[in-house]
Amino acid sequence: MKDKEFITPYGLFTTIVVTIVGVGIFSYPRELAADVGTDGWIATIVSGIISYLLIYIAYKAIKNNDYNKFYNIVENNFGKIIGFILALIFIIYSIFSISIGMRVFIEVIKMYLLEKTPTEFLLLITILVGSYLIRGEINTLVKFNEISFWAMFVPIILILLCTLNRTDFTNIFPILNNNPYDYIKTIRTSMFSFGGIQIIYMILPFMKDKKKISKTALKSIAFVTLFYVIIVIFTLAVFTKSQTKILLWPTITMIKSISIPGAFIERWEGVVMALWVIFYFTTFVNGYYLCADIVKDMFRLSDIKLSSVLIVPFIYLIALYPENIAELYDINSKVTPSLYLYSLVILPLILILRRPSRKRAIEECD
Amino acid sequence: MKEKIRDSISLKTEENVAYIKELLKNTSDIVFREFYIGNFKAALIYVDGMGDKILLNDYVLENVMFKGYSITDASEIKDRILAVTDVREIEKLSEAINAMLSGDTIMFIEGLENCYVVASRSWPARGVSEPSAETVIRGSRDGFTETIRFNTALVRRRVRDTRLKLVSKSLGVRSKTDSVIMYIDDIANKDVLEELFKRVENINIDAILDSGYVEQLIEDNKWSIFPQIQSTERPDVVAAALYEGRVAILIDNSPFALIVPATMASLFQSPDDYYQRWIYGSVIRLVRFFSIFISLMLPALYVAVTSFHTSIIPTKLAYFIAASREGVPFPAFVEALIMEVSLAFLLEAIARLPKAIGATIGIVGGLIIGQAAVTAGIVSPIMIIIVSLTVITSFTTPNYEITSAFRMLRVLFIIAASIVGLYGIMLGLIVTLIHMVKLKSFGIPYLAPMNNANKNDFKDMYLRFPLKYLKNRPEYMETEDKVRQK
Repeated sequence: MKDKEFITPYGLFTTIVVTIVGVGIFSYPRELAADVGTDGWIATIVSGIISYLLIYIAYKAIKNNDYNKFYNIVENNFGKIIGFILALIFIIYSIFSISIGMRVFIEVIKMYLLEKTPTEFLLLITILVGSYLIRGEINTLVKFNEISFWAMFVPIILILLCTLNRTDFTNIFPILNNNPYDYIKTIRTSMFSFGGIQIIYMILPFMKDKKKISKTALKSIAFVTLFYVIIVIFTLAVFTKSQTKILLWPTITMIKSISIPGAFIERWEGVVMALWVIFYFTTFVNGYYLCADIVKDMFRLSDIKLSSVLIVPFIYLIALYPENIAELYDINSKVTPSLYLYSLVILPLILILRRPSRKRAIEECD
Repeated sequence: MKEKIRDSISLKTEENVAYIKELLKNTSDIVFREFYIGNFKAALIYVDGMGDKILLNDYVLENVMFKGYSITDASEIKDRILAVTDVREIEKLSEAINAMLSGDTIMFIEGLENCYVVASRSWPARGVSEPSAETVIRGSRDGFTETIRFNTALVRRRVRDTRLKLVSKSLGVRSKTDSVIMYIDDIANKDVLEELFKRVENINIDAILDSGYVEQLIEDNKWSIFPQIQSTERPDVVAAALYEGRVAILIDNSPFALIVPATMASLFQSPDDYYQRWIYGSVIRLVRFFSIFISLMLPALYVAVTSFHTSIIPTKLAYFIAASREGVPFPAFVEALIMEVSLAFLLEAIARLPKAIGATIGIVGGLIIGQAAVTAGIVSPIMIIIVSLTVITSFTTPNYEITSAFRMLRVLFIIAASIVGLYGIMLGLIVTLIHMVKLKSFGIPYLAPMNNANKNDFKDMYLRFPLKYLKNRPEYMETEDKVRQK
């Protein structure tokens, strides 16, 4: 590697997209339909816009700090001890979200692919494969994202096309038929499916072309929003809102409903689950890398190989803690909101409201 | 390992000859011929069998012995009566001896501080013939031979450019194998070139017997199962690579040239893709990608589906498979491994045997044993079909090394599928992908151009666009001259 800054705008785009789109997509249409029925896609668009604002704030915060790495930013602004605590809470959010995602993913795998394989074993091999990727440092990760982007979206678009013959797009009407409070509530839940934008703390310090960041971020959020809107509209069109509400994972059920006469494969959800592995895996490794990177800086470790091992037990234990899916979603809804609020809203806002650290340092010198 | 040879050349011919005789005692293939050119004592030394005797007799000895009387100054000999095109004046004795051992002839003349080396290399060599491993339907039929000069000439005939550079190096401390690094000066990627020279300099081995040695000594990752350097028998492939900004290495005694850097995509391309019309070329490429997918996945998918996910396939087919496997005493996983292993035996046996017996082994191994195994109920007929399909599909790839790599991967995938089914296959694919993403060949990503969304490079990747649209050299190669066609 000739220079330290090597990530292209395309790398940033794919990294943001593949990190955000993860297991949340399984239950996303249900969560929306539960509150606003047919208007889910409006909530999606609004939360897409809010996510862009959040990512923009984070971008500004990083920019004001000379594109430093996350831990250095926090340390420079708040001093050693407070900085350490703030970074720790941030890591806890990241670890928590990837662990919960991991458990959801393993549950889905167990339900549709491997009924009898123990959860612990599946967890372990997934984490191991993740660690293997992390050991290749950040340029490997970004390249992996760039390639998996195609492996993810090309098949999924083909599969969505296969559901077309079952859709009835009049199902998405009526539009704007709920009270404002419901929208706000839905946007609040919908925002969690955009979790993962904190990944820019990891990417931005290594960006090659820093002028294009905000435009690329806009593009990637727009892509994710569009993808979510399509999924929500398709599930509504296939199932109607009343059915979407009661399905645990409407997206999978929708794919299950595909039947191509005379096709070799009878039950598509198994095949789709196999493809979906990569959807989750990218979310997992990017979050994992972010945590490992910050832990490395916090404890001043020499390389990421050690810090990535340190995190493994936490992911494993948190992912194993819930006893069943109901408990899993219950814990998720209790813990995630406050951590999310802290990591993606409060912390960047504080960072942006403080004066840039370098200017302050110069003033202090005077 | 290195031998100490004197550098200085004595003015006296007898002294030089005596020194070389001492140095090369007990070597019966060296010919010493001492004679007079006029009044000057002279000597010719060459290796019997490697020197061109007609040249030495008719143009060297005859001229200098018959016309030598007119010479008064020893330095005139070369310019006036030595009627040979390629004569070099060499100051170091060690260098002259190396040249002699490569087939040249040393000529000592009394009173000269230097010696002459007459290029008289000639030995019985295999002529240019059709490459055995890389055949094409349309395209040239000439392949590299074991003689490096023929090989460079074959490439030169396709690149008549003043900017084609050939840098010679002698590799191996004892074998002193000639090697040539070829590149086009204003196209080749300079970082790759610099890295290559650095790695070649670092080779410090006693003998280089084949380009395979060099390949293994300069590759990036020796633990990877993927070949990171392309080897080819075809001069047109080398020429095409040079035009793309790659660098070729030719090694004496090896009909395989090396091309660096190699990318995954370049290993999947055959010259036929470009020589035929673009539609056929594109379709062939798609067929090849599809068949490599089948050869990699089919047995693993079979194992996964039959042992974990019987519900994915239609019920009728599931019953059919179950019925055909009735009586087979092994689980699908063991069955697949048995077939893979016996296949490996068969392929290796055919590769080692003389061609005439090879066909017999193919029939005995493939037909008779296969049929008997099914009749005896050891393997199911479906398994035989799957394994045969994987073999056929795996050989659609032009590069043999990458085929072997995929063959090994296939076994790993079967094992992964036997443990966690489709999920195992996916994880296996992810691990393979991660490994390939990490791989680099001389600084160029192995998966280029798949890892960036470069429109230009994609024109010549999964499909092969009409030549008119391929206006630029591959961008991932970072060539200096970027335009191919205006």
